[in-house]
Amino acid sequence: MIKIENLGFSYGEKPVLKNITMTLEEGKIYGLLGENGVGKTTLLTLLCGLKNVKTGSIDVDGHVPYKREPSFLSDLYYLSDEVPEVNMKATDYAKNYGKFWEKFEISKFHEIMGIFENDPEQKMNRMSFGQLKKTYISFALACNCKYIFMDEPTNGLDIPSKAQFRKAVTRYTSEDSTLLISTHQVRDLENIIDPIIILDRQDVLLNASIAEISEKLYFDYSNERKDSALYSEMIPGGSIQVYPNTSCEESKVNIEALFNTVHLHKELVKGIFSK
Amino acid sequence: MKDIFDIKRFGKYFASDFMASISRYGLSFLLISLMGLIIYAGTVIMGLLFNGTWGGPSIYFRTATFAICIAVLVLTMPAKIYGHITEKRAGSTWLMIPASTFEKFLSMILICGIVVPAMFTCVYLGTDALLCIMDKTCETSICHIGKEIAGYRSEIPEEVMSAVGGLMNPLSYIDDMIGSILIFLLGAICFKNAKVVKTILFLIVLSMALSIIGTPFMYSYMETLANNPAMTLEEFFSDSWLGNLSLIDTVSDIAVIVIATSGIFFRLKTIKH
Repeated sequence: MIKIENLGFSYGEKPVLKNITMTLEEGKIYGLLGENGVGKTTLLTLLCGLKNVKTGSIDVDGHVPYKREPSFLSDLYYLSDEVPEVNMKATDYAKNYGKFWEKFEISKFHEIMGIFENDPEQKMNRMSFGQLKKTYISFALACNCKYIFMDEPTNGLDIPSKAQFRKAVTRYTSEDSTLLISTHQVRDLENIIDPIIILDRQDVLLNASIAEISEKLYFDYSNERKDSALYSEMIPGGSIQVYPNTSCEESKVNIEALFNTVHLHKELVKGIFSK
Repeated sequence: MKDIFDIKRFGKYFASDFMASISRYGLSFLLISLMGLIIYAGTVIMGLLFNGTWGGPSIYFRTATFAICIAVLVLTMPAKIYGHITEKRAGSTWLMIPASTFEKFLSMILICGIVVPAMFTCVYLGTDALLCIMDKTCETSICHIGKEIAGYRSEIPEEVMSAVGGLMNPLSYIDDMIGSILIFLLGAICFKNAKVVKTILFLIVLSMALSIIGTPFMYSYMETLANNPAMTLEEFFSDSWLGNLSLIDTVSDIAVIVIATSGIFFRLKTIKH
């Protein structure tokens, strides 16, 4: 379990994260959403120990991430937004580095590379950005880590690859693994992320499961417009409106509409979810 | 304790680090290590083309080339093998490899400070020795440069020899080479770009600062010489700290190695991305 308490971080004088407190439970695929510059990448790098907290604390199963102890690192894989080109074949890279993660499976790496239709015999410095990203995603999932943090994993992937990514994540993530995926492209990850964390400048606006969201908010896809809607938007074939769910009706959560609703009514939504 | 050092994990890490070093610096290493052979071939071809005679380069020329290759190795190798650590993409991936900071540090020191210089020395001197066996025009191997210059030693006073004689042994420069590599390794993992140039600039500034500190000492010895015009070179060397020049050189080299390795470890421990 990951416990974050009163976390604060700043770049020089400029504060990025302030008093962030939350808990990430095991066996869930968290979606980390937020506008540009709210500190999503910073939060991920703090969680994996690439940066040190300025105030507060992070506890990952009793480990302080910044100490970067091997017992902590072997339970974690961080896939950054930009991945390095290496002068090695993908399969050689996997063999050379996979041995550091105890549960790494080379056969799984090849299977996922197969799903992505990526050639493991190709040199990584001759791959396109998308191919390189798919190689690292395959490696991350093949490590079978307890914690996998991915920063914008679908950036640079073509349309079929995004579907392949969803397939790979749902098929190859073990039940006790916790994934934290930061993204702007919510449609790419709809149906696989649950719970959802929405980060604002120096605050967590929402940290709730899809079931909780559906319980507290109602997503109306009918064309009937109501003035009480917190958010409404025209979508192809109709419209979508979001209301506080007063009648306990079930509805399908639209993450994009949720994100916009939360941003339009920050305090109101925080109030609804704190009850 | 296992989070600081585990021999099995270190073995795995060292092997993969060595493999990665080969992929980053292998070709450059081969080129520098075989420079003696390339220069020999060039000299022979030039001799045949312009003089019509067969003749390899002299031992002095080959020794100078060897020294230049060492300098090139010292300047380029650390940045090429470990310079990526300061880069966000590759550095993050490297930091996330499940090995301790101490294991990464130790592997780095072993590869840069011992393995690569030893391989370079063996390949370069081995090739040179082989050439000397096959071609008598090359006279003798550069391993014997010490014997070659020994002829001049008879002209040097005993007091001077005991003070600086150790410095005339080519092997005495191994610690200098390791110290220099470690300094450039520290520069490679501290500076984000222009790593070699910035390290050289740093060394120039440091030398200027140290020379300011050293000036009063040098001045006092110059004064001694000026006040005693009859003082011979033997008297001067036997009656001053210069009499222990070899010892001072060794102590300063050890100090450089200790400071550089401490700096490297501290940098690895605190690097952020």
